Amino acid sequence: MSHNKLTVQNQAPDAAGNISLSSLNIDDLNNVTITSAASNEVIKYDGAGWVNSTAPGANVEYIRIGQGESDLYSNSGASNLNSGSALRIYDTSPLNTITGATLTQYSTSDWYTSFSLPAGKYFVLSQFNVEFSASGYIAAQLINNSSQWRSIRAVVGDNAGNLLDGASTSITGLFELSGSETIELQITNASNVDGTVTTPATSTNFIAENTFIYIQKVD
Amino acid sequence: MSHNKITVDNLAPNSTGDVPVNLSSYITESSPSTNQVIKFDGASWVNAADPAGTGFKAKASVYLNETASFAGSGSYSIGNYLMIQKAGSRVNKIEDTDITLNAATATNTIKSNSNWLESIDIPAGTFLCICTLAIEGNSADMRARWESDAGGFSNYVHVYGNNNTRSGSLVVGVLTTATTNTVRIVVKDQSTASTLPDNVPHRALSVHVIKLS
Repeated sequence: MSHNKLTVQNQAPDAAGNISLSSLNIDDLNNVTITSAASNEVIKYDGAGWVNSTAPGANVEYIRIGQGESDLYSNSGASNLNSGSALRIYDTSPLNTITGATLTQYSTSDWYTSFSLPAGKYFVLSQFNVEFSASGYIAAQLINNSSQWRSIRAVVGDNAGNLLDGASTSITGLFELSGSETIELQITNASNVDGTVTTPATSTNFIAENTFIYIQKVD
Repeated sequence: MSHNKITVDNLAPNSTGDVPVNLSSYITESSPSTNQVIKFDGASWVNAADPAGTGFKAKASVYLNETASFAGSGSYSIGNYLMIQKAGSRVNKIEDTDITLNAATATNTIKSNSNWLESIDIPAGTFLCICTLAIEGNSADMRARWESDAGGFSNYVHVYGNNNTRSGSLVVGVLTTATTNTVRIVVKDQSTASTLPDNVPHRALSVHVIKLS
């Protein structure tokens, strides 16, 4: 091997024998690929090589359905507000930044019946309310399509104490999924709930304005 | 030139003939410290703090650490902003440097008082805003939600002074704003006005603002 054949990353020695790397960039390293770098991106391993990307964890991934907008519950497609039915949530511009998550709409309406999440850990905040025909209560919780619970049960209504003494009026907590699941906000108990809101003649905006769910992916 | 004078980026071979090349040959490195990462600053790759720290960052939080009664200090009207005490030894508070807890004014709420907040100034970004609402007055009620300068951005709640389980009191919104904005809880409706809180509801009243991105 002669000295004039020695190169480092295609840089040849100068007259003093130094191989300068000053003209090289980080993506001149063999296993680094930089594509259109943007401010605050970092270099991370993607399973095959080192690439530029948003820093893991830099942006929170979340879903929000329900922001107080008005719409008649009769537009939701729900046939009743009985135990076992999904309590549908209204949002004309729901937010979903969780990679691999999807939201399921009823027909072409802005009412959402369920959502699917990929494997991972999640934090949830949710609240709901309905109108009552007399003093009563309604309870709901997150339940997947295999009938497994994914949150605590919350209850509201004048007679909430008849179902659960001292229970939370809001759903909150953490859950972990080992695989993808479809989940809904499911009514688990109902007493004197005004089910006439499922028909156009007597429907109201109350559920749309008072019901939301926020889910955030956590480490 | 002999082979033992070869250097790489002015680094000479070690005793085994190897030339170790440092990261500084490829980036603009300056005094690295623990947990820094390599990130792009808009012009070049540099060592700096992990930008992951920008996600889910506490920006503002106010609630009390002891009870206090102000029930005789006035009542809410529809359109008023919710007042929460923000100064004094009984207050638990987070107020980040780019956040302002705006003092209560008689223009927007029950009364002027620089020790109480009526709204929160936030910078550009996406924020999770949470309020646990509690009111004073056995026969009083309040319907309220989060609003920004652009209007409402959360669910409504309707809380009652005589039945804490009638409805939930959690008001949650996600707001993305391209410029500085101001968020507040606004009284949207009521049948009987509530007053500033007495001891019991003061234990349950809070606001929190978290930056998501």
